[in-house]
Amino acid sequence: MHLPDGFLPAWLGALGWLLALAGIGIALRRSDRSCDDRQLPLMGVLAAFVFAAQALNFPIAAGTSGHLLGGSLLALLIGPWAAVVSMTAVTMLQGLVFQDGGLLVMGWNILNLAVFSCLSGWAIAHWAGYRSPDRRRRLAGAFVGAWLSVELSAMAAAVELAVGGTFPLWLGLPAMAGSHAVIGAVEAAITVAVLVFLHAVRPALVRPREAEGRPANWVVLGLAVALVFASLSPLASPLPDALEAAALAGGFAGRATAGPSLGLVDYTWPGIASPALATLLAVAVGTLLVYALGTLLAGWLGRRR
Amino acid sequence: MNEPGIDPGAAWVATLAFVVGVALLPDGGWSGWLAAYGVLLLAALALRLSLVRLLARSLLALPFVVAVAAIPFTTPGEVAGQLPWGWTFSHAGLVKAGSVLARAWLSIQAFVILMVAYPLTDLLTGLERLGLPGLLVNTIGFAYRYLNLIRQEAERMLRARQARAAGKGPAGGKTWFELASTGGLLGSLFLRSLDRSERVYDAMLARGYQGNGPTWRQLRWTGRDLLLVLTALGGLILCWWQGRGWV
Repeated sequence: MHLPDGFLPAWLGALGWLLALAGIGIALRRSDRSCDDRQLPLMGVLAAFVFAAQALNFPIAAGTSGHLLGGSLLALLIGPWAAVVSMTAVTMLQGLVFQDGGLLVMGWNILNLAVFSCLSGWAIAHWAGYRSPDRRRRLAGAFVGAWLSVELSAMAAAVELAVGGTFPLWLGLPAMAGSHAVIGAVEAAITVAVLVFLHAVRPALVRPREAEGRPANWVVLGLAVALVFASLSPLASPLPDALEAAALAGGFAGRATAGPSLGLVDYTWPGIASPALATLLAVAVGTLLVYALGTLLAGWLGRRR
Repeated sequence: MNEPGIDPGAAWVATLAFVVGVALLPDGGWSGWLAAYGVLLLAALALRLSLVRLLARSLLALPFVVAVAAIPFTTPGEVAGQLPWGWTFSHAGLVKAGSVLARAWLSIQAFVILMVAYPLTDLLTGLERLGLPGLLVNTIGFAYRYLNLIRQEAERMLRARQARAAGKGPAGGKTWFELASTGGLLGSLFLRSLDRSERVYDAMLARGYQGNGPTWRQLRWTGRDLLLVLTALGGLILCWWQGRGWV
């Protein structure tokens, strides 16, 4: 999901850098306040941990494999703001060392992969039950937070590409949201598995963090509202060529997304003509399904130990 | 390869100006991009970089570009052709797709040249001097320093797991074992990283850490750096004019 250079116009790249620097500034000030000097090597070494964890591929099914992205896991373990700094370091290093993601668009990559993913993973997990004293509900919260954080980052990238005029939203949003439904489920499963292990080995690490992250809620709320508006906009504005668009949405957008995801991938719902409306419905239903799945899985994992 | 002889901060500014300029050229600005490629080749020649290596690294980083293939079909405009199964693509879309490719490819090569020309520590110092927060730059430096160590740690753990999975029977049992041990593997790696960061901090204190890392290299801007930056900014303004139709 690292955007390369050339996919966004210059003004949008500059805007991304401004927003990213503002976000990093807040994160640095907050993480500095919440901890002592120890934080400095901690954030750096844990960024190296995420880097190494992302390189480990796990077999899933039928020859495909997945890996951890790490934003929401780190946010739950070391606090949302320190996690933002760590993940920013990861994203910038990926650009610097492997040219994974461009230079002008790096601001947006930092926002998507560090700021949005850490803050939304943290906030959603806490909303969804991570505060609860009951271990299973907390794991369910972590599952939902991790899954939705990946989905939100992917949708944000789709919106950025649409604003930049590269891919229209009716194509980019279903493609990104659909493929990342699978990636997000893997992320959530790995996150919960790591939390279960840490809960058994060092329970003090896995605890809800209240005081550190209240502003994160506002950031995530704002992001969610912006994404909902952006997703609704194709409903309001007439498509450039409605007939062609519909034909493509049926054919191309369906094929562009890969992997099985509960049959929602191609978003062709009987009786619903608008692809954007169908996408919204699919995302809503998918969210509910994932919540149910998370609760079941967490309950099962919780019983085992 | 030659030593660049240019301050890394100035090199950052020049590279950024190059990437922004390439992005500012309007769709279909082929002559401008050709000139930009000339600048890239000059830089590579001045550094005695292998052009083949540059090309290989730039292609390695371009898988995202497959997505560009969708652009001709989604851009409205005069129909240029039709695929056998009925999708049409437009002239404007072809030009746009080519333009996105050109921008992506030129930018990535500029980025590769910058990365190959300097050690990462110098580049980070340059970033800090350009105003990026020191705490962030230090974090990136730490991450880079411990990257290989932690990756090797992960590899050792993977090897150990493989050894333990040896008796687990056919593919199914082994895959399940590997899946089931994922949480333990990554969790242990996390704990080891956490412990390592504590040790690193203690070592820093033991060596008299007072809030600043030591720097060995004295970096200072010279007339040459200024000339490079001014040239790059001039090129940027030229690209901007081209985009507004003034040149």
